[in-house]
Amino acid sequence: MAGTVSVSKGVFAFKRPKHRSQRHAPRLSTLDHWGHGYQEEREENFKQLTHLSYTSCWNIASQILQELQDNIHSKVFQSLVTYIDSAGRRLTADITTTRDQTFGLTHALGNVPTACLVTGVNMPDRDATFQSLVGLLRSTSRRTSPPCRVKSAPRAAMYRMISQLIGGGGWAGLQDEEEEEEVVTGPKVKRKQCTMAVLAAWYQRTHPSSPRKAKKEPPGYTRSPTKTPCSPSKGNRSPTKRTHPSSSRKADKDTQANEGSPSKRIKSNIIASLPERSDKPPIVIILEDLESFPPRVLNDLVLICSQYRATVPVVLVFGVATTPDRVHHSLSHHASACLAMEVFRAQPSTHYLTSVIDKVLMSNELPFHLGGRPFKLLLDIFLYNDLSVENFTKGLKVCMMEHFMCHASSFLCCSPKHRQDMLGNVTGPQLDTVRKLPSFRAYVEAAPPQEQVPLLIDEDYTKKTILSLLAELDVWYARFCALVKVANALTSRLPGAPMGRQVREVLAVCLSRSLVDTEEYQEAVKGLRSMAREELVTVMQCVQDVLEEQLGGDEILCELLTEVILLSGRLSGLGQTTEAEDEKEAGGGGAAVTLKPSDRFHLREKLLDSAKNKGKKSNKYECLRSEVVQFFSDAFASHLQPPTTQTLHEVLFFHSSRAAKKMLVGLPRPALTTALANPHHYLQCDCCRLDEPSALVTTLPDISVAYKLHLECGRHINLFDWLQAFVAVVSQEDDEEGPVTSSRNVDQKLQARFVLAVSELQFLGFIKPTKRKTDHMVRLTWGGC
Amino acid sequence: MEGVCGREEQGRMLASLLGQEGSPMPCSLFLWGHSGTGKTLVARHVLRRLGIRISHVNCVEAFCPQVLYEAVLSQLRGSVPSATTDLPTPPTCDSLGEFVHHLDTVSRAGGQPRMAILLENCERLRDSAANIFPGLCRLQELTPGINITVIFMSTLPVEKFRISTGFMEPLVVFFPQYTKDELQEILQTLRPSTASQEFFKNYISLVLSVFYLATRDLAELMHQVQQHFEAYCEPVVRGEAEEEDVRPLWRNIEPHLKKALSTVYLREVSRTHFDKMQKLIETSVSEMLPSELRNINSLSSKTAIVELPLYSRYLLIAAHLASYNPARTDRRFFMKHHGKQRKTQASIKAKERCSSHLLGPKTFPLDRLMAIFHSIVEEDITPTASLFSQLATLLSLRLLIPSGGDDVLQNPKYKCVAPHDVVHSVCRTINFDLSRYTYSQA
Repeated sequence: MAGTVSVSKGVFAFKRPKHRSQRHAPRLSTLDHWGHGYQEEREENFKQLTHLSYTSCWNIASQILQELQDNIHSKVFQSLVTYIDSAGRRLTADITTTRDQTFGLTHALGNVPTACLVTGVNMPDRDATFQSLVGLLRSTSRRTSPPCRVKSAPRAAMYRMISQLIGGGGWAGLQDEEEEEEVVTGPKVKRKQCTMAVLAAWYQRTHPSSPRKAKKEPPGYTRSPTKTPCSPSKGNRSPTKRTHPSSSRKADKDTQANEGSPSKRIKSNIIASLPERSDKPPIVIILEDLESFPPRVLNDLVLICSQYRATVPVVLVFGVATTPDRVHHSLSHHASACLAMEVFRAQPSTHYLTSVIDKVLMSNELPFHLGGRPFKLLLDIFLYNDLSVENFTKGLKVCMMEHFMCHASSFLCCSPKHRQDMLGNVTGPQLDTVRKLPSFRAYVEAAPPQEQVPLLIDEDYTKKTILSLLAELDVWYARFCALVKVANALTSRLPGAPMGRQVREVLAVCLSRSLVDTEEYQEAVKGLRSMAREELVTVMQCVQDVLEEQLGGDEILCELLTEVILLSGRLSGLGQTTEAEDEKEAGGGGAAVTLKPSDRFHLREKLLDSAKNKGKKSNKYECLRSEVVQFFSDAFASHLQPPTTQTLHEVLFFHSSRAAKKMLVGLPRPALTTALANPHHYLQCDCCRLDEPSALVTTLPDISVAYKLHLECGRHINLFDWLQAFVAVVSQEDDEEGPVTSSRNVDQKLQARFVLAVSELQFLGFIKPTKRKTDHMVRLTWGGC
Repeated sequence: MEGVCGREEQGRMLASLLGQEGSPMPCSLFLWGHSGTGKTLVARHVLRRLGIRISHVNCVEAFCPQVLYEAVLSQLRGSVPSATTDLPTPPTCDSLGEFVHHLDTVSRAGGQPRMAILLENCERLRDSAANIFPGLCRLQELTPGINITVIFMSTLPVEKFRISTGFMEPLVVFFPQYTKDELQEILQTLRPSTASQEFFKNYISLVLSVFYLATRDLAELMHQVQQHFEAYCEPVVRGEAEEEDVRPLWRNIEPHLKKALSTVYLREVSRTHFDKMQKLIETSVSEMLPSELRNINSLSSKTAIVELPLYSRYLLIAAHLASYNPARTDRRFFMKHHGKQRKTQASIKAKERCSSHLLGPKTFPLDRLMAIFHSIVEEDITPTASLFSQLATLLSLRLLIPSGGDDVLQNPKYKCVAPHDVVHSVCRTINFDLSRYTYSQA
C-alpha cells in the first residue's frame, strides 16, 4: 500500500492493486490441506491415495447432483421461457400495431406481463435456481437483466437495472469483480443518464422495427399470442449480436467457460421446443426476492414499466418465496392493475431432496455411503432448519472429506473398476490398516483356522479377499436399498404412517438399527395385520412394482419377487372363493341360532359360543395375511440389518456424526463460554493449560480472568470488589514476593486492563450496567462454565 | 372533440384557457380527478389540436429534479436521449436556474413556439426538491418572453399542494368520474370488428351491471370487458344461442363474472393460464401419492401454505404469540405452575377493551421470542447458529420485521407481520393449538 504525500491526518482510501499475477500462480488444491488427521508415521502415499479416491468420489457425486439440478426445474423453466417468449411477441406486436391508434386506447392494454416464479423459502438454493434461469434466458439471446437484489432508492434501482441492460450488454451477470472491468468496455452509461427514456431510445436504435411487421389488428384483441402476426424471423442473426460486438464476445466467452454448465444443457433441451425467435427480443427483468424489495421501489418500477410498455417491451420475472399474494400485498391496487401476472411454481425442495437421496445416497454409482447417524444429522438439518438442498449437499461433501481424511482405509472407497489398481500399489504396512479394521478382524476370527493365517500374512490372498468382500458389500447395499423401498411401499399408506411416508425416513431407521427390532416396525406390523383385502392387494401390487424396478439381476431379490407374485396371486385368487365361503358361514350361523323362542338363556349361550369361535377361528384371508406379514418380516430380518453388521463397512460407510456435527452445526454460545472458560481449547498455548475447567491461572487472558471471577458473584457484581480480585489474580504473576500495593491505589495499567475486560464482557452480553446500585453490574447469565 | 367522449366540457374549457394560436397562455393549469377520468387524454388532445409543443413527463420516473428537467428539455428540443458517449450529449441541467436558461435557448431555436409541460402524477414532486413545485408554478414569471405553460395532473385536489413559500394558485380544472352511460359509450369502442353493435352493447351492459358496484376504474373495466368476451361469445360460436338471446347468454356468462368479481384489480392469472393450471393439476394428481395430493390441493387454493422448515414454523408461531399476547400474560401461558387466575369483572372488561387483534402486532425483544419458542417446542433444542439464521430468513421473507429499538446489537426488537391465515395454516401443519395460547381467546 503506497503512502500519501498529504500532511493531514485524514483516512485515505486506496484501491486494491490488481493481482494479475495471482491468476498464474498455482492454485491451492485440497491436497495441500489434506491429511491433517494423519499421524506423522503415515506416509505421503496414503495422502495421495485417499485424496485421489476423494476427488473421484466427489466428481461422481457432483456430476449426479448437477444433472439433478438441471432436470429438477427444467419443466417449470420451459413453461416460463415459453411464456416470456409469447409475452414478448405479443408486446412487440402491440408496439407496432398500436402506434397509429389514438392515444387513449394503448393505455388500456398497458399491462406489463409478469411471471411470478414461486420458489421455496430456501435461500441458498434460490441462487442456483436463478443462475440457471438467467443462463437459460441469456442463451436464447434475450436481453436479460441479471437478478436484481434489494435496493434502497428508486434511483439506484434504475441505475443498476439500466446500466446492466445497456452497459453490460445484458450479459453482465454473475461474473466476479475482475471480469466486470472488461464488461464496461461496451457502451458506457453515465449514472445520470439512467432513465427509461434513454433505455427506450437505445432499444429503438438497436432493434429497428421491420416495416413488414406493421400489420394492423383490431385494438384490444391482440392479446392472445396465436392471433398476433408472427414476426418474420431474419434467419438466425440476432440483433443484439450485430450491434454489440463486445457483448457477443462476452457471451462466447461465457459459454466457453461453463461448457456443460446447467444453463447450457437445459437450453439445448428447451430451444428445440421453442417456436422461432422474434427479432425484437423482450427485455427481461428478474427481481430475485420480491419480499425484501422495498414496496415503494417496486411500485414505481411497475408504474414506470407500464408507462413505457408502448416503446420498450419489458417482461418482469418476480421470484417469490412465500405465496403469490405477496405481490399484491406489496403493491398498491393501482400498480397491481398494471400487471398481467402468471404464476409458475418451482418444485418444492423436499421433492428435490427425495431425488437427491434416491440418486446419490441410495445408489452404488457413488461408492461412498452415509451411515445412520450422519444421515440423520443431515436430514434433521434439512427438515428442521433450512429446507435447502444446497446445504444438504454441502453437508454430504463435508462428511465425504471427513471420511477420506480420517480413515486411512478409505482409499479403497472408489468405483469397483479401480479397486484392483488401488490395491495393486499398496504396501504391506498399508494393508495392515485394513487388517486392523474391527469388522475385518471379526471376519478373520470367524473364518476357518486354515484361512486365518493367510489372511493375516499373505498379502495377495488378503487383497483378493478384500476385493471379493467389497464386491459383496456393494451387492448387499443394492439389495438393502431395494428393500428399504419395499418397506416404504409396504407401510407408507398405513393409517398414521408409523414409519413415515417418505423413503428417507425408512432409510434413516434402517441405516442405524435392524428394522424388525424397532418399535415403529412393530406398530406397522399391527397395522398390516388389520388391513382389508383390497388395501392389501394394492399394497402388494406396489411392492411388486418397486421390486421389479429395483431388480437389477440380484438373485435374492428375484426370489423375493417370485414369492411376492405368488402371494399376491393367492390373494386375488382368494377373492372369488372367500365371498362364497363367507356366505356359507353366515348361512350356517343363521341356521344354528334357530331355537325355540322361549329358550332365551340357551340362545345367549349359543351366541356367546359362536362369537368366541369366530374370534378364534380366522378365515382363509386372515391366514394368508399373517403369512404375508411373516414373509416380509423374515425378509427384512435377514436383509435389512444396519451396515455396521457387514464386513469392511468402515471402508464405504461414514459413521462419525460427531465430527460432521462439529463442522455443520454452529453453536455460538457454547463456543463462547468454552473460549472464556478454557482458552487453551482454542489458543493451544502452553501458558493457559488448565488441570480442571474451573481453575484460575494468572497467565490466562484478561477477559478470561474477569469472566471466571464474575462467575463467583451473584446477580449484582460490585465493580470495586471485582477489580480487587482481578488485580490480586493478575499481579501475582508480576511480583509474587511483594505485597499487593495498598488497596486504594491500583496500578493504572491494571485498572485499564480490567476496564477493557469488563467492557468486552458487556459487549458479549454477560453483564450490563445498572442504575439500581451505584458501581454495580448486573449479571445476565447463570450457570457455571 | 371526436374520440373523447364524455369530456367535451373539460376539453372546451381547456381550449378556451389556452387560447388560439399566438395568444399568451396561463401560467399553470391544474387538472385533477380520479385515475382513468381522461385527464391525460383530453390534455394531449387539446394541446395537439392547438399546435402546442408538448413535453410529457411522468413524475414517478423523475426521482430527482435533474431527470425531470432534462427529460422536459430533450422532449421540447425534439432530440432523442442517448445512452452512449459517442454521440454529443445534451448539456447537463441540474438546477432551476439552468433549466430556465436552457428553456430560453430552446425557445429561441424553435422560433418562439407555444410550449406546454405536462406533468403526470405531480403529487410526487412534493417529495422532490423544495423549490421545484413553486418554481414550476411560476415558470412564466421566470422566463419572460417564452410562451410556456405548465399543466399539472394529479389525483389529489389542489389543497394538498399549497405550501407557504412561493406557491401560486394554478387554474383548476376538475375531471369528474364518468357516469354509467359514458362508461358504456367508451367501452363500446373496444368492439372488435367481428361483433355486431347490438351484441356488444348487450355484453357491455351485462359486464357493467356486475362490476359497476365494485369498480368504476376505466382501465379495470376495460380489462374485464376484454377478459370475458370470448367466454360470452362461446354459446353463439357453438350455435347454441342466437346473438339476440340475452337470457341464455347471461346465464352462460354470469358465473364467470361473479368469479372475476373477487379478483378485481388482482391481475393474477389470465384465463388461458388458469385453464392450463387446472389441467396441470389434474394430470399431476393422477401420478402422485395421496399424501402429496393433499399438498397440491392446498397449494392451488387461495391461502397457500408457506413451506417452512420445522423450527421456522415454531419461530413464526412464537413471534405471533409474542406480538399479540401482552407480555405480562406470558407467565400464565408458558409456565407449568402459574397459579390460578381469577376472572373478575374488571379483567373481562379490560380484555374487551383492547382486543389485541384489532390493535395490531406489538414489538417484542429477541429474548422473549426465544423464551416462548423454547417453551412451545416440546423437545430440548440447543440454540444453534442455524436457528438464528432462520430468524434472519423470516425477516427477509417479511414475515417478521425489525422494529425500532435503540439497541440493535444487544437487544433487537421485532414485530410479527405475517397474516393470520398464514400463521393458522402453519399451526395446522404441525398440529399446534394456537387458541390455547392466545390471550384474546383464552
